[in-house]
Amino acid sequence: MGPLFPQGLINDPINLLIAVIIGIGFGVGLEAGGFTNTRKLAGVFYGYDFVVLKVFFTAAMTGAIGLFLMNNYGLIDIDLTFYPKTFWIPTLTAGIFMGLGFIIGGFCPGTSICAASTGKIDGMVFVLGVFLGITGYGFTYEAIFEKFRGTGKLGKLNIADWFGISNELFIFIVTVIAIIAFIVVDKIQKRVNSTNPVPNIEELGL
Amino acid sequence: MEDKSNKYMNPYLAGVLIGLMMIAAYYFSGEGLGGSGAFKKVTIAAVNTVNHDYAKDAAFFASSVKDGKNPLDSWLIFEILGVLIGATISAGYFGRLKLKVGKSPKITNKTRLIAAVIGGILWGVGSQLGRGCTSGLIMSGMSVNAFSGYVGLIAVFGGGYAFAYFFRKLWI
Amino acid sequence: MKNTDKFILVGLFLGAFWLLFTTDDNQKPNLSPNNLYQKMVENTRYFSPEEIAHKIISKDPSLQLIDVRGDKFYNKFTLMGAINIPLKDILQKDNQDYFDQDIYQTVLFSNGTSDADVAWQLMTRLGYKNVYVMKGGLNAWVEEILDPKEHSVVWDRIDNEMYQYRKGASQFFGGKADVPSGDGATAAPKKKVKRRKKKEVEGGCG
Repeated sequence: MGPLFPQGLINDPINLLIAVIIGIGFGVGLEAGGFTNTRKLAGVFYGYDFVVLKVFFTAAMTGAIGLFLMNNYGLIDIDLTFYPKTFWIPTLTAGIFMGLGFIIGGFCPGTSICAASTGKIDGMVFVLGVFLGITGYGFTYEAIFEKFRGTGKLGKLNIADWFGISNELFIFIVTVIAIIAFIVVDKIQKRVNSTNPVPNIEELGL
Repeated sequence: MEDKSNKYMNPYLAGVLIGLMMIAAYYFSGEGLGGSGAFKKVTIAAVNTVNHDYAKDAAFFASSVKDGKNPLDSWLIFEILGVLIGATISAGYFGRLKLKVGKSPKITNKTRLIAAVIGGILWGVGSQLGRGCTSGLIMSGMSVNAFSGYVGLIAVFGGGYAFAYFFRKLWI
Repeated sequence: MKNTDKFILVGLFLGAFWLLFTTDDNQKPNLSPNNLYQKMVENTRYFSPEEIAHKIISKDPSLQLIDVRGDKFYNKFTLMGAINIPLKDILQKDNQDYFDQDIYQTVLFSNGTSDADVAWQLMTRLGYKNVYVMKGGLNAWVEEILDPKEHSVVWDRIDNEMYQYRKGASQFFGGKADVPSGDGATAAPKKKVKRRKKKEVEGGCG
């Protein structure tokens, strides 16, 4: 049963090879979904293109449904995976930086790599910016960030536990909400594009 | 040959594909898909090469370089290499492998590029403080029902919507 | 919404729906240290040898006896109907199936009380319910059931009932209580059995 690498069931080189293969799949999904096009990415914030919402939630719920089904049938033990710990204060604060970065820069780190590798100069420049940001953070880490980063510690908190419901029920509810959201945003997208068309809309594939 | 460059994969299909990759990542390697982690490792490797003595003692860098560890020898780095390859393959198929600046026609290239750098810096700082970016923190977190994933979701998209109005000129 | 879209979203919904009907068999709600401490202090987990004897004699169908000593001890002597799960093996998955149910009352016993108590703590911590300990273990069993002493000081009604009960139980289990009126036929074979049992039980510790 999985996860294989943390239990030593596959060795390091194979694990890294699998990383590349999985990355290829991820890259294809991102690029084919249009995530190298920064105007498509920003569209979710302005109502003219909701591709980010659709891809994101579909991916997250596919992942969740798949993983928990596998967990409940004994194919994987989620507790043995690298389960992110919750530090809600720095995460919430950082989210503001990241949201602002998204609106101004039009990318997030993963999509910027896709854009950079396919020739988008703004992507390459964004990547440069990320490196600058991390470097600056690294050098000022001990002075500024270290303490703050560890606040709001809630440990390996599971959101279904926090609501007091089962994992399965939570995923089901989010899936239903997502599907409803998909239907609603389609209508919003149509409205926005007919009343206030975005310039050069055909490059967005709408 | 038809111009496919404006054709994109059905978003739900793309989502399912990425979701399957997420499942595979957790199943084989025990960790979720990530983006910012690779940037961090590369930065650390660069600083380490330039000045190892500083790196091995500085809190941010130390754990990745102590005892001669190579920060580039990590799952995230190899995954990002794959992403690079995958994106290139897909762009090649759709005919989108072109050198260009993606932007709204209402602004200049220069504006766009400056904005991109600033955006990048914000993500650089934010992703380290928040322990991830959209894929590593939010998407991977949501896939295992982690609270942190949902905090990230609200924070990042909330933040985006909060500032969207003020920067609308960049996009529409 | 295109047909492919609908197809995928229906698939997602069905997946989430299916998930609702599965459960995580691995997951038991672990008891917090406070909860565990409460249960330990309450002492509600103990059954006396008498109560166990009563259950065995009356063929209580909810009783599940588990001998947590090593298999050598178990093979020499144990309580009627008891299963052997040595303490060192008790955390193995297969063995936990005995605890993972709400029908039986699982009574753990060892030679004294400590090993059975350790097993009880482990199982209770893991969230299993209906787990109990036979207080005093087999050492007490021998004293109180197989070889009950008369109360020499004050014979009030309660003590006498208890004594008589114990005598009866002793006979049932082949102990050395005297049969009050002429049933010499059963006395002789019982004597043989008694001697053997006494030796083995004394050898235990813990």
